[in-house]
Amino acid sequence: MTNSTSGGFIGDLAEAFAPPAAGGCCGATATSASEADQEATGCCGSPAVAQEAEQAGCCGQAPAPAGAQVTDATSTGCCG
Amino acid sequence: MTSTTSAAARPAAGLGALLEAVSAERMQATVHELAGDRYAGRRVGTPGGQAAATWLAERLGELGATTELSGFDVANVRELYATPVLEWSTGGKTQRLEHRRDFVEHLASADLAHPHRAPLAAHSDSDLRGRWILAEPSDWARACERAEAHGAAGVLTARATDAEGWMPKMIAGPPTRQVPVIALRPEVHARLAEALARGPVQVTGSMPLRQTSARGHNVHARFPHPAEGDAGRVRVLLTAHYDGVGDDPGVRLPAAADNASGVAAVLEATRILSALTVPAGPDLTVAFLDAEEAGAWGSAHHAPALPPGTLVINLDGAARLHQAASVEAGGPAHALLTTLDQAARLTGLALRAGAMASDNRRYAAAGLAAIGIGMGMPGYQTPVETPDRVEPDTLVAAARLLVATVGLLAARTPA
Repeated sequence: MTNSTSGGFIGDLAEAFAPPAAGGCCGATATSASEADQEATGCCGSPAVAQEAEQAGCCGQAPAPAGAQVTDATSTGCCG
Repeated sequence: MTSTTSAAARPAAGLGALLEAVSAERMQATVHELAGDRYAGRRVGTPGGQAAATWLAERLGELGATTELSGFDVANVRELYATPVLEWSTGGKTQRLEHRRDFVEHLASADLAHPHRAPLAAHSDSDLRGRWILAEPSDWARACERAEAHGAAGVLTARATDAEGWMPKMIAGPPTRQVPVIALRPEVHARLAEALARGPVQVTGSMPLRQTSARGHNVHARFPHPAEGDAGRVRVLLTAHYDGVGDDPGVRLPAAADNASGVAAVLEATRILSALTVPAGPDLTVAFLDAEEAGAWGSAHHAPALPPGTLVINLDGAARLHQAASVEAGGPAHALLTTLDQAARLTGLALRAGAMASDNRRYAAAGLAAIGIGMGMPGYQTPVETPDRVEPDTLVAAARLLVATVGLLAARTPA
């Protein structure tokens, strides 16, 4: 564990393997806004996009192309 | 394996000099280039996207890499082929709404090429035939089912805006419904509901949105390695997606932050790292990925082809650092994450756990150690995602983090 106010990981490194959904968008991290604002932008994990994505499995993520080893969009841990 | 490299010649020893070599000006020039008019927002399968891939391959070639444009098919990309129209009228007054400010394409929408005028109905009304249905965001799917069953004109629902009042563009989503679906800014949705409660409302709307297939192209680059053929050396892959959601008809969406900024930082780090000749150092490869915005197709295409043990670092956004960079790890990335942490301490960059739903997840799902890093995207997928909003200091911080991480990995490789 590294606690740092200048450089390095804030908190436990292991958290990076299961990061909180808030603060991350579909391929984005809109750090210019507060987490509440990010909810409003339609990011991954927000109600708006989760509703749209529920049938697709994930925010802006289609299943992998046929033949690829990664075929289950939900396995990528996307929202919805 | 060659074992003649002195410790002094290895990257960690000279890391300070490498970090000083990072140039904000070069990265800003890359961002301006990729956000330029000729790339038209870099949507997968467009001439602008292809031009961006070619430009990047040329830059990597200049650095001494062997480059390849690796093609793959992409399906179900949403394409807005004209500017949608939406207006509503009640009591003799008509209000015209502005696309991407007041309303936006819902990704499940059917194509409606021309404006269609019809009365507005509440979702709970019994008579929906031929009408636009006003539905709550939580009810949009059920409203679509009712609209399809009753022959309604379409569905109006709501979606929140970003902090600046824009409704960001996306190009991949759930399966297309049989009716047009339009998402309104919540305030507009509320005004329509109030008006409908008072009396009849007429709505005229179009949604020229179609699904297309496209051909994507990753830019893969590999640098010659003195220990070619040594299967034991560390393999590092730096990635960033270069595609964007593409311009709207007549409106530029420059995609400077997402992800010209990430590409610029990876290219700059590559420029510095590629100048090293370190026999025991990592085998450096770079992939500028296409079709992330369409569903991370480029990384899904690339990940299965990589050798086991490849360490992947994906950068998605390096435009405005807010307190700390977001980091998501996947696959067997514990050692890589520890090195990243050390590199961050060395460069003075704070990191924190944050969801990075991007290409890094495709590599992690393929069993590789993969880390996604995000450092801000002002104007995310809107017309104001412009190069002037990409902060030079953030670009420098991102490139230095990458250089330091790879440098530390090189230092740990047994000579």
